[in-house]
Amino acid sequence: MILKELGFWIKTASLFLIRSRRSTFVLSIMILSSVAVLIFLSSMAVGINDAMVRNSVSLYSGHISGFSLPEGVKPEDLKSEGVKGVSRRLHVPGVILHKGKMEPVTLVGVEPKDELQNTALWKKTVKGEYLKQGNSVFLGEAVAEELGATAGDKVIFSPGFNQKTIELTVSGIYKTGVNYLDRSVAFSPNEAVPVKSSEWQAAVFLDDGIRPDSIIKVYNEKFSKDYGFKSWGELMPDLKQLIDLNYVSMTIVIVLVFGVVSLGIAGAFSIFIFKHLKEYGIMKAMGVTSGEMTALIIIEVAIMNLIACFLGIVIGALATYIASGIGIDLTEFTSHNQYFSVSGIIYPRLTFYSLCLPPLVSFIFGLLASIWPAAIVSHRKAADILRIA
Amino acid sequence: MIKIENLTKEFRSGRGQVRALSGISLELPQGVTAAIYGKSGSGKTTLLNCIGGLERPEAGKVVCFGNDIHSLTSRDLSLFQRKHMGFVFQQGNLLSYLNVFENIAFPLVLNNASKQDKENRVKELLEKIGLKGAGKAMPQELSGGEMQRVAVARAIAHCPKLLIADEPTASLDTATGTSLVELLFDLGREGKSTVLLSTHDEDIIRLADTGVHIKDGRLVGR
Repeated sequence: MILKELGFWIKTASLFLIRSRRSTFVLSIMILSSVAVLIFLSSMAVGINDAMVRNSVSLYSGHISGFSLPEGVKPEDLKSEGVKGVSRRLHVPGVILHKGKMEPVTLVGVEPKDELQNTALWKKTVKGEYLKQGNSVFLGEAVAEELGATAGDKVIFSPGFNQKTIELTVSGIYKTGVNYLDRSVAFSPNEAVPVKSSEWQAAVFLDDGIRPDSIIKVYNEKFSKDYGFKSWGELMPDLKQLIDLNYVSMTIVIVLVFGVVSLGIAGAFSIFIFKHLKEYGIMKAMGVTSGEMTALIIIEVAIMNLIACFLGIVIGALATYIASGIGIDLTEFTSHNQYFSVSGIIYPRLTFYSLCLPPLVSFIFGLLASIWPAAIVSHRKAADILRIA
Repeated sequence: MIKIENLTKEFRSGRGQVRALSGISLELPQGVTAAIYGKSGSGKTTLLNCIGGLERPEAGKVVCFGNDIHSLTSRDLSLFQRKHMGFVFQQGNLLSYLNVFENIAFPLVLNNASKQDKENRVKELLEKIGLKGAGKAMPQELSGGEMQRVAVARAIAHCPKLLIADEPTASLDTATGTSLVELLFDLGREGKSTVLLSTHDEDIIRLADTGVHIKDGRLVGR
């Protein structure tokens, strides 16, 4: 019986919307366009976050960093499903000397082939070329400037007092815009690093969409000892915070937009209701209860919202899909930003957040917007309605 | 039987408190057709609204078929109206987004009529009101007289015990108005409904079994 009654009210509400098509169309367009635009904007926000993470981790550090790994643990041991690549690195602090000048640096021993495959640092070469095997060094621009060194020059690296110094040839100079890299890190092939430590550092690069936490969990289960694997989020709390801030800002924007839109919907729907006020009075006279009247109005708003949200999702998702295929080049606005040091191209991405939050907020606000017109009709006596209509 | 006891209704307006009905008492047997007449502003509509439960009086009782309708809760009153009452107003009676068939079927669906009963009853009424082929027409496609005939059919569709028509001929020409009231009374008598109609047209008063004369909110004659 309840289902039959509900079916009747849904049918009545649908007929009301279909046969009041102009008003329905205008209200639906408001909701539809807001949902579509906000899905696209949310996807852009996700795309910007992705780009910041991609730029930050692919430049050098990887999604996960492993510290003080013993020789017994091989890079192959860190490869598992979802891991795109592992770079083995040796960190040796010291100074670089050239023409009587000296700069403190951390010399990072790398496997050039792995680095070319996993990182984007080579793309930031401003002079010379990326590392080759042998005694070569890849210097940050700030360090090279301080030393007065350029590609092809010979420099000396000293790991400290009473340690063996080595002569290295500057293969190239890079500029990332990331201060600590440009000012204090130099790269050499592992074979050239003078101090052979028994411990190494790993940079683990993951496939798209893989959460670092899940891989760290795998490592911790695999190795009995905790080697101190850390995700990019722990190592770059500023970036993590920026991304969280981006999500919070976007959520506030969505809520505010729908707050305003819902006020518009409530106002427009109330005008809509007032236009048909006498009909609601007649329905009351026919014995439609206040509860049924409220349900009818809420169903009308809910149906309109559902259809408009669905169409908004389709349009927003389609726009995102197209934009994600070609990318949106914001290099002009990101070129001096350290989180966009590799590329300023944004690929909007649909996530549960970007796809579901706008229609969900729209639906909730839409229902809230129906309370006002529902109250207008259900709390008035039929005679009052018929008198003023 | 409809029993009205000492009915008083006041309105607050710009001119202060206005007494629309003053102690009206009246008894109407079941199945009677009654014309409530009087000048404009005499209280005819207010009396009908109070009898139909659309308005609550300040004092007095309206007992319809043994139920003091103003002592019912809002929900129970709605359910009582749905089952036992039918209304026809001056104009704009129809739900604009429902077609003629759906408008007439509306009270039947509210009263849980089966699909077959609903279709049979609407078809029967469409034939009786002379709009056999107009089931799918929208209200705005009908003339004023046709709209009122559909409103009458809808008011009578669920065979209510009480049919209230508030100046149903006000927007119609005399001939159309008279034929509408004849239809209303015929359908009412056929369904053994009590029909209360307000008017100031003497020709229409003569069509009713009884007349109730209202002046300045008081019953002045029958």
